[in-house]
Amino acid sequence: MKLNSEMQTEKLMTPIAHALHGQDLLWDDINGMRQATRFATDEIELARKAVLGLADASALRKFGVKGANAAQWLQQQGLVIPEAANRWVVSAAGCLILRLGNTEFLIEDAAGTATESVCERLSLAFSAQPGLYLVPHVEAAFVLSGTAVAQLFSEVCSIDLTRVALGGKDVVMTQFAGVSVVLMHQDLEEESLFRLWCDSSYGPYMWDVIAGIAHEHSGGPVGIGRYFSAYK
Amino acid sequence: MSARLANNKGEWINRAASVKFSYEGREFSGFEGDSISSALWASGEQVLGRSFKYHRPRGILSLANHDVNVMLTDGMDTNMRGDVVAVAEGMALKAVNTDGGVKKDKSRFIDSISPLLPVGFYYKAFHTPKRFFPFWENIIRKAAGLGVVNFNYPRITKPKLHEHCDVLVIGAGATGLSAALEAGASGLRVIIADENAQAGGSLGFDWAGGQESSTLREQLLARLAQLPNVSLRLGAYAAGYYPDHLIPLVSKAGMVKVRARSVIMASGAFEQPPVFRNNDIPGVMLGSAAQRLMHRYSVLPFSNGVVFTANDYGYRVALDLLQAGVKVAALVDLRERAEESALPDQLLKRGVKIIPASCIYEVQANADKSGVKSVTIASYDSASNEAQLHDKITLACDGVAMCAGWVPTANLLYQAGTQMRYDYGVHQFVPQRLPAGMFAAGRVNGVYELNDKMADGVRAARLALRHLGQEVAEPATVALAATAQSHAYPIVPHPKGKNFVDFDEDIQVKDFINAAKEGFDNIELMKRFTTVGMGPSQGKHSNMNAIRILARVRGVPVEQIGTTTSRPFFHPTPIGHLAGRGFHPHRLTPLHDANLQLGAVMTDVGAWKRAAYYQVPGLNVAQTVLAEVEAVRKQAGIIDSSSFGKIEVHGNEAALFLERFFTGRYADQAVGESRYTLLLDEAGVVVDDGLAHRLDEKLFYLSSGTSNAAAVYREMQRWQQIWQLDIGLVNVTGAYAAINIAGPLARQILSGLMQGLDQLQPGSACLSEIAGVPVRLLRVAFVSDFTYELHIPTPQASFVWQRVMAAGQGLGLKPFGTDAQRLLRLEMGHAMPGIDTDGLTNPFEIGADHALALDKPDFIGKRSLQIIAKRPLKKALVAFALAPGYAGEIPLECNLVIRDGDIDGRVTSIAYSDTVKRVIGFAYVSPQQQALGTVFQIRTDSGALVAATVVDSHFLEAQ
Repeated sequence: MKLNSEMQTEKLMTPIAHALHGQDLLWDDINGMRQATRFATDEIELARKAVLGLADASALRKFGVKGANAAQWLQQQGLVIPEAANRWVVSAAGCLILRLGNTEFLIEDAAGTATESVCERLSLAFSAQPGLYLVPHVEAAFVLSGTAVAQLFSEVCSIDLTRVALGGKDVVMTQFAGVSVVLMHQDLEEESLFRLWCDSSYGPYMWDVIAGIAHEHSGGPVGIGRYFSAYK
Repeated sequence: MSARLANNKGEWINRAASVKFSYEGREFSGFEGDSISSALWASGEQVLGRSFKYHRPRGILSLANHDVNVMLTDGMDTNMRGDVVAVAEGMALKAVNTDGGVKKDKSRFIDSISPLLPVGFYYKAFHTPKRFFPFWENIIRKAAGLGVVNFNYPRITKPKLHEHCDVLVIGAGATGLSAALEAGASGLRVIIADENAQAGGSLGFDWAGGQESSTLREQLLARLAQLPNVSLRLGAYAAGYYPDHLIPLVSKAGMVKVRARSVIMASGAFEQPPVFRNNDIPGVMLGSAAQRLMHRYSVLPFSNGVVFTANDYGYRVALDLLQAGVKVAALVDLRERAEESALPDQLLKRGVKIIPASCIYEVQANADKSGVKSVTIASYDSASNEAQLHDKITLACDGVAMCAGWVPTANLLYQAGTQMRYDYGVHQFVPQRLPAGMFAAGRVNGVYELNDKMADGVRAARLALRHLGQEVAEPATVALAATAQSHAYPIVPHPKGKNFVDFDEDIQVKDFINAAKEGFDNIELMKRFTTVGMGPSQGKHSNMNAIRILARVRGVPVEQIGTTTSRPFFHPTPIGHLAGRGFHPHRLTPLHDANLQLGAVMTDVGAWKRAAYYQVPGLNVAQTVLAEVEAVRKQAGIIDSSSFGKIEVHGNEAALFLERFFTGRYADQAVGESRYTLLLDEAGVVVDDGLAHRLDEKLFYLSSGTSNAAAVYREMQRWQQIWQLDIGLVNVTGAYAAINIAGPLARQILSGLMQGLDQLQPGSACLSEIAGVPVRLLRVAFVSDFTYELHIPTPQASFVWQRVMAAGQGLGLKPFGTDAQRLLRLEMGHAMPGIDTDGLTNPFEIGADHALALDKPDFIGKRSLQIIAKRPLKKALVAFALAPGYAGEIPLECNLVIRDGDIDGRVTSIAYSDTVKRVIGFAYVSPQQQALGTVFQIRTDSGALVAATVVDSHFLEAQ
C-alpha cells in the first residue's frame, strides 16, 4: 500500500480540528489538509508570536521508515541522514530528517513544496523489502516560538529543555503534560522555533494545554504563515 | 502603646505603606513587610494564639516559621502562621483553636485540669465501659485538629514548574551566599533559595550590638547581583529531597521542582529553647526571635527583659537588646562561664548583671496571663541538673530571651540518606557521610563563627564544582566550632511542671519521664506515645530536647538514642501546590466532532473519549441503547472504533513472532484470512484478545480492544528484544481510524461505496478504497455476523464517515455507542478480557481451549498452562439467563453468585436484551455448576436472591 502518498488528498482534516474554535478563525487547505490558518488580527498574532506563539503544522507532509535497512535505503534515495540517533538534519530541499532511533526515521517536507515533495517521492519509491518497513505518520505537529517558551516547557516537561541543554541538532523524545512527544529546535527564516509532534489522537488535548498556558503569558495560536512564509 | 523602633538599617518594613487589618475584632495597623505577629506585637498585642491541648495563651516563640501556636484564619485561608505570613490590607484575622476568642477562650479551663490529662490519657481512659466510647469519641474528634477547612475555597491553579541547575544552594545566609558566589564564578547555573522574604540569614539580625553583619550582607548581595548565572529565589523553601537531587522549592506562587546536579545545604540551624516552668508565657521567646523582631521589623520584644542562656549566643542577643534600648535586668547563664570572655566584658561594662551557673526556675505571668511579670532565678547544679532553691531570687521583668543552643536544619540531609554523628564539641549532630553530589556547610555542618561559615560555604562550593568535573583544587577543610554552641542538657525540672518541651502539643518534661517509665523508651515509640514532634512544626524546636531527656532517663549517650525519621515536607504545603495545574491527557478519535454532532454522550475508555450512546429526544438512556441495538439487529448500525489497538508486524518472521506471542496458530494462515488472537502472560493469565489479519505474506495487521493496545505493543517490543526475530513492529493505532458497519443491511450500504464486498467472507480481510481513500476492509463478527470494519488513514476518517452515513441514510443506518456495543457482543456470546476476566483468569476458565495450540513448540504462558491443565478447574465462566418475563430487581455486574449461603462466583456481564427478550449475562460459578440448565442464585445489592439458569452462550441462536 502506498499509504503515505494516498493519504495526501483533499479529504484530509487537521487532527487538532476539535480544539479549534473562535469567531476570528480563517480556514484554508494546505497540502490538501483542512486547517485554521488565521486566529486573530495581524497585530494580535504578531504579539502572540513574540511571547508564546503556537501554530498547527500538521499539514506538512510526513514520511517514515524503520528497519535495519532504513538508513541505507534513505541514502540510496539521495538523502543525507543524521549520523546518530536522536539527531536531525535538513536536506538540500529543505525537508527535515529526524533520526528517531538507530533504525527509524521521520521525514517532513519543507513548507511550500507541494509540487516537489520529498515525502511524495520517497513514498513512490518505497517497496516492501527485508529490513525496511513503512511507518505511517499522521501526527499532530506544532510550531512554537517566543520569549515564554522556556516557561511553557518548564511547566509541561520535567527534563531540561533550555537551549543549551537541547543542543544544536538534538531530537528529544519526552513527555509533555503526560503525552509522548518529539521535540527539536530549529532556526528557520531568521527565527528561533521549536517543533513538536505528538500522536494525532492527543492533538486537540496538546493544543488546548499549550494554548491555555500561552494565553496566560499573553500568547496564543497564530496562523502557520507566521512561521512559514510559503503559507502567508 | 507602640513598640516600634526608629528606622533600622536593613529593616524589612516599608514605613511609607501603612497596612490596616483587624485581629479578633479589633482594628490594628502595621507596615508593608510586617508579619502578622510583628504588626500585632508592635501594637502591644502579645496573646497571639492559644496552645493546642491546654489552651494556654501564646505569643512569639521563633519568628522563623515555627510559631505553630500563632495560627490564624482570615475566613478564607486557615492555619496561617502569623510569624511569617505578611500582614495585608483589610485582613480580618482570628486565632484558630479558640472557643469564644483568643482572650476569652472558653477552653482555657483545660489548663487548670491539666494534671488529669497527661500524655496518652486518651489511650487508656475511654476504652471502658465500651458503650460510652462513642460519647468520648465525639468529644475527642471535636478537640482534634486545628482550624476549620473552608469547603468554599476557590480553586486556584498553581503551576508546578520544572527547573534544572548545576548547583542548588539551600539557604541564603552568609554560608549560602558565599557558596553561591564561589559556584557562580565558574559560570555554571546556580540557584540559591531561601524561605525568608529577604536574603542574608542571620546577617540580617544577629548583630551583637554592631552593624558589621548588615554591611557584609549588603556586600555579598551586591556581588551576587553581578552574576547573571545565579538565580536567587526568596520566599521559597526546599520542601523535601527526592532521588537524583530532585528538590521542590515551594513558594506562595506554587512549586518549582528543581533537579540539580549538586546540592549545597547551607540551611543553618534552628534555635532551641531551654526548658523551665512557664517558658511559654507570651513575652518569653527565643533570643533569635527577639533579634528578628528588632532588626527585621524594628519592634521592641519587651522593655525590661532577662536573657536566659546556655551558650554564648545569649550574650550577643543581650548586646542587641541593649542597642535597641531594652533594659536587660540580668543575663542568667546555665554554665559556669561564657566560652568567649569578650562578650561578658562588654555586658558588664554596660551594667548588665550576669548570673552564672544559674537558671530561670520559673516565670511568673501577669494577672491575665498575657505577659511576663517576673522570673525566679536559682542556682543550677549541672551534675544533678536540678535548680538549687536556697538562693533563689525574683526579678521583675516583662520578657525573657532564651538561648539554649541549636539543631541543624538537616531535614533534607536525612532524607537524602546522610549519615550523621553527634559531635560532643559542638553538641549537635553533624554530617558524617554525605551522598554523592550533596554538600553541607555552615551551622548545619557544625560551623558557627562568621568567617568560618563563609569559608565553609566556599569549601562546599569547590567540592560541588569538583563533583561536576570542574578543575578546582581540593579545598581545605574548615574546622567545626571549637566551643559548644548548644548545651548538653538545658532542662530545669519543676515539681509543678508546665516546663514545656514541645509547644505544639503542650508536652512537659514529666510526660517524657512517665512515657519512658511505661516502656516507651525508644525515640520512635516515645514520639508516638507522647506525640512529640508530631505537631505542625514537626519537632523543630522539641525533638532535640526530647532526645536529650530520653538519653538522660536511660543513661545512655545521645547518639544511642538516635533521631526520628525526617520526611517531606519541610513545612506544611498546600494541597493546591501539590496538585498544580490539572493535566488529564485524553485521546480523541478523528470522528469526535462527528459523534458530537450526532448527539453522542461521551465516556472514558482508557485514555480515549468514546461515544457511550447517542441521545434521542424522548428516550431515556436504556431505551436509547436498546434502540441502537435494534437498529444493528434489524437494519444497520455504525460505530466509531478508532480507539481499537492496531499494530503491524512486518517481516520474514512475522508469522513466527505471532506463533510465539499468541496462543493460536498463524504460520499456515492464508493471506486475506483473519484469525483470533489470545494473549496470555507467563503465568497463563488471559491478558488480551483480538484478531490477526494477514494482509501480505510478510505483514500481519493486528486489531485488539481499546484499553490494552499500548500495553500489548510494549509487551511485543519486550519480547522482540528477547527473541530478536527478523520483524518490524509498528504501532499504527493513531494512524488508522476504524469504523464498523454492522447489521443485515451493512453490505447493502457499503456496496455503493466500495468493491470486493461480495468476495469477502466472514473472517477475512482485504484492501479496498472508498472514493480514493485506501481502506483496510475486515469482516468481523464481534457485534453481529454481518459486520464490516473499515480501517482508514486517520486524517481521512471524517470524510469516509460522512460518505457511509450518507449511503445509509435511506436504509435506517444508526450510530451506536459503547453501551450498545457491549450488549451486542453479549448477545453474540463473546466474553471480553478485562470485563469477563480478571488478573487471575486462565483460558480454561473462560472456555477458550479452542484458542490454544498446545502442540506448538512454545508460546507465552504455555508452560504455565501445561501445569494448570493438570489441576482441577476452580471456576468456570458460564452464560446465563434470568427467567423469561423476570420483572424483579436486575442484578448488577460484580453481584455475587451464592450457593448454600456461600460465595460461589460473581456476575461479570449482565443486561436486558430486547432481542432475546431476557436478562442475559456471564458469571463465574464453580465448575460443578456449569452444566447447561443448572440454576444458581445471584444476590443483588438489596440482598435479594435471583435465580439464573446456565444457557448456551450463543444467545441469538438459542433465541
